[in-house]
Amino acid sequence: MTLEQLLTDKPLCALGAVLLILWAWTRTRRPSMGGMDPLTLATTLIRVVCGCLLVLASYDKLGDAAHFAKAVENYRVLPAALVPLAAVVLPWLEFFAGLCLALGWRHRAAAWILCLLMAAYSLSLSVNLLRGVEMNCSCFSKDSLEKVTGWTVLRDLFLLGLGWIVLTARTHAASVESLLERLRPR
Amino acid sequence: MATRRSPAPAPSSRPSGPSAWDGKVLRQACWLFCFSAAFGILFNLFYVDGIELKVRPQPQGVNVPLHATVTPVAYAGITPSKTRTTPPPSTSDPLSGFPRVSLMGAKDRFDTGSAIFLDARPAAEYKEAHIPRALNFYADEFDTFAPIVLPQLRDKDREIVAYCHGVSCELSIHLAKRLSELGYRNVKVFFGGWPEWKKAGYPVTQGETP
Repeated sequence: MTLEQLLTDKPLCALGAVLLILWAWTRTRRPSMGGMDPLTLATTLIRVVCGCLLVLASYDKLGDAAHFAKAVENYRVLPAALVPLAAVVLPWLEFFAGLCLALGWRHRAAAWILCLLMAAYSLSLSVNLLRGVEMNCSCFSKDSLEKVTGWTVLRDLFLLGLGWIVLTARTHAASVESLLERLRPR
Repeated sequence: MATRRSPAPAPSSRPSGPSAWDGKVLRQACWLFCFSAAFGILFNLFYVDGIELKVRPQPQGVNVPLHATVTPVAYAGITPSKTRTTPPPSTSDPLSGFPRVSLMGAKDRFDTGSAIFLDARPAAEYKEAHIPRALNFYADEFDTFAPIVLPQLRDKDREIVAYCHGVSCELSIHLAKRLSELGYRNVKVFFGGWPEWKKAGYPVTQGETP
């Protein structure tokens, strides 16, 4: 199975569901005294997965604003004057937010961005589904011919939920911030 | 009267996490947004394939500058969900001024043979693979190709669909403009072009212009 096939709606929904179940399960576990807290491990995994997904989503759009502008225009939720600006800014916003999440630096701010992006995407996808418009998502690959369905909205809602978990998580491991905290002189 | 006390909440083994509405985090999110926006705009400004951020209102018609911008045009990915039996109508592109044809529209025209397809890419790429029955008319060498192709386009009301490398390519718009100037009245552009056609798995062929 190629990466392109994995980055489609149903596998990503399955991944989101698995991560949510894992997180819910680890919440019921007591933090162990010696080793790593399972909840911390789960939230760290969620953070890194969300970050990588955002970076992957941005990768194909970064150098091709013209194509992405057409995709944004197709959603017909933004005024025409804002379409080029959105096409130029959104991929970089996804990229930097994804990078921050994956590396664990300013990850709560990045999680906010993830939540806002997913809320906006799921809203605009739902609007187009309700309009009865058959369209390409252009979410992960600009050349993808996968059509927008309810699964696409569900995928974004899963990501929104995962973003909220990262945002409200008490501790994270394997992050640049925790490394900096450790290196800081006391 | 005895009051019934609600049971005490079970002691939680975990303290609650930080508030999502922490002012510091919201400020950081604003900074991250501003930094990404500034970076994106600057990148676009200096990038060779950058787009114009300002949308200029374009008059309808064909006599519009072609190098204006390649930005927001509705593109071939969007099609109404209802089943159609006739080729879908093309809609006018707000920036190039030419009616655009979607992937489904191009396929319908191909199936019915109602339009002549013109491949505006260089000859080498056309030879490698192209839409069957499409004529090669490399837009950047219009004068070279015109004597070969124009005799096959005698009916100036016949529908012509120009295509090239896809949405980031302007060769098809150049070609459509030149043909319009020569009096062809029914020229359209398939913006999705060759990449979209190939990706959809529609018929392709190799070789030179038939």
